[in-house]
Amino acid sequence: MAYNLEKLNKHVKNIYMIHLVDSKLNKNHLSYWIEVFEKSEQNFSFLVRDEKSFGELIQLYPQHQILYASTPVDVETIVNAQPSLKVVFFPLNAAKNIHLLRFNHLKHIFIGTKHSDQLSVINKSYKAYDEIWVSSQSMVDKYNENFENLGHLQLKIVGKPQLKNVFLESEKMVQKDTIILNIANSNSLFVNQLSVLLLTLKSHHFSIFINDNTIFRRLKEFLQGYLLNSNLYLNNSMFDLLIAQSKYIITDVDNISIFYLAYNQPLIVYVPEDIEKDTLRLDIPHDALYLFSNKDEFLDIIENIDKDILKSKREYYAEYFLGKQATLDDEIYKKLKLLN
Amino acid sequence: MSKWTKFKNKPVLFFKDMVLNAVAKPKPKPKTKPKNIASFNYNMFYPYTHLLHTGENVTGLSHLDLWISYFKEADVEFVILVRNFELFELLKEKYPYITVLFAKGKKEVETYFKQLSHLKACFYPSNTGNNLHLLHHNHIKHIFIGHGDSDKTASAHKYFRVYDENWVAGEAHIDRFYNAGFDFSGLKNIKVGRPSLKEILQISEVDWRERFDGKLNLLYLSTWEGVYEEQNYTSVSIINTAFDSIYKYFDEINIKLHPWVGRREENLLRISKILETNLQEKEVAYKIAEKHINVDFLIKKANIFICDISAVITDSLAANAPIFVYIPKGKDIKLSKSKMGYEDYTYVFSNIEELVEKMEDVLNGNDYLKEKREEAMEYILGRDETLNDEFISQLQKLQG
Repeated sequence: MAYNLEKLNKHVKNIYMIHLVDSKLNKNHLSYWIEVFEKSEQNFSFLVRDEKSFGELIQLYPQHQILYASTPVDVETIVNAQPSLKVVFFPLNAAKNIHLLRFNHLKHIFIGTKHSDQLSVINKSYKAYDEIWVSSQSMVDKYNENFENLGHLQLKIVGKPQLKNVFLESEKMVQKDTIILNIANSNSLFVNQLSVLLLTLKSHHFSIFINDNTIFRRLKEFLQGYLLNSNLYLNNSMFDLLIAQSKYIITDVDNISIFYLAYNQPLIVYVPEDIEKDTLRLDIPHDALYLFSNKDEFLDIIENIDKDILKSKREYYAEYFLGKQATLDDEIYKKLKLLN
Repeated sequence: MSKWTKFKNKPVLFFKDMVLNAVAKPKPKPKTKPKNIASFNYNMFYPYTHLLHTGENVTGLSHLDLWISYFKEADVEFVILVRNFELFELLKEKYPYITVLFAKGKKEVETYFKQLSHLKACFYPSNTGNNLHLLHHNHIKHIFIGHGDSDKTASAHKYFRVYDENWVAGEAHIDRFYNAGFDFSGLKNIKVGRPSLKEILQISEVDWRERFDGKLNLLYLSTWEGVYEEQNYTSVSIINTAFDSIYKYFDEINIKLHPWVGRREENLLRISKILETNLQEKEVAYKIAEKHINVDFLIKKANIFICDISAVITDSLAANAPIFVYIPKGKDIKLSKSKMGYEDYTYVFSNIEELVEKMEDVLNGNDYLKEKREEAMEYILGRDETLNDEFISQLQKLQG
């Protein structure tokens, strides 16, 4: 397989290159970052280390400089073919990164993936990089907890640029009347109690997201039977669009995600009664969530939801976990510009 | 129909089938799944404190050979972890008294780490991607020990920062890091000398002219032609002609070619034969060493060296005898520089005339780099640390 070097645009000087190493997730990693890099107004290339995903990516992004390298020698050929290269970005901390980390003249920056803040186990191998671009202070704290001495390693907060529009939308004052229900776990008691909750709130409009076909059909029949004002969705593609209209979000413990903080809306979370709330480990700390386990607790929350006493906590965590301010300040674009 | 019934009722068919079965091809054995995990002399309840890991294939054997005897000598509880099954089998055969583990992937490595609860340090002779499978254990000390000392750029790059400590031979390696131009403030460098060179250092206390009853024994150590032409530092293409001029000075010539000579340039595969044909015609004892012969063994028997740019220069340095180093002209030689360059302690040459001229001068008594060579022995090899068994002391210190 050729390196695809002919794809290198000889008239542009590439400043940075993004190293994609996961055969199954390369597509996700590229799509997560590509808009950010496009907006940076710098020239860049992608280096893919898996032949199959390379084939897919060049079809999907024909306008981009996507290169392929199998061996360390191929990697060297590709680096040498881009003499203006200054920085390599690594979305994944993978074994193959060593093939690039041996180039002392390049700056090596770990940028992670959508979920790497939650999933990554910080360890000594991260010290190979020159810089880690983290979303927020929570990650800085995580690194400091794991290393006695960071040494040369620089941690830079860049926010989550992919969430900028969500942050901006969430600040707009719009009349909201929809309730978002997001249901992940078809076995949870939450689904069984759903009919009770829906009837309690029947004066509202619902947008319900379900990823289970059986529940979807059962719920559809139920909603039609009671003539409830609602829309049902089998996937989350409309989630970001509808969230702007939402009054609050109801979900369950299996489905709560750190990204919900970006919407800045009350988060009502169902916890099955057999689970001790204090033992729960969720992405978002409990003190920013309205937790309920039965109808009475739920009604109590709904009655007081307009006061939204947890708003400031949520905002604090949106800053601490997602780097809201750095995102709104376009920190990442400033830093990308400084690379040249 | 049973065989007996067949024999009774249809004897012709019985014998026909018997012959057919006898000549029929044996059924292929069902394919056994290649092993992902294996162990040798391993007791999961034993309190192993040191783990020596190589992520290389069978080439890792030479790296491990450098260190195993010193781990043994230090009398620490150690285990070797390899990632290649062929290497695992080789180790079992070569070192039947040591504990060896084979783990193919990260999952298998984890299986062992769950059992090795007394582990205090992991040692790495080379930088391979799969070292990553061990590095996430933050409570264990990760130590790079290398497999020789060289000025090649691979000796000092940013990946080294993943380790807690870098055990180096001498001060030169630390300077290579300073000169590489990146921040390595989180990495602790510890001088431990080169234990494998201790015996040669002891021999080198006798002046090189007085060794071997005044005989002159030349050792030629080549490198290979490299992946790219710009990395081609080998002297194999000129050495045959050079021997025509210099053989007469020596009582014995030993040759050890890099095992990869001819890998890129096929015409170099014949070099061994060419050298042999040439030297056969001359009045000199000679030997072309087999691939498996250890360089240290050959160094002990020589008191003049011709080397290409590679780790063998520092190995030869331990012998404290004149070293002639081939530096090809017109190449952009990327080296990881220390305070001492090759020209400071070796006689460098770029062509045959230069080699002959410098060699004659030295053999006539003008070994003008002697003092600098001795300085380099301390600076590059860590002579004192080697002679004082510093490596062994450091291993024991970790045992606690």
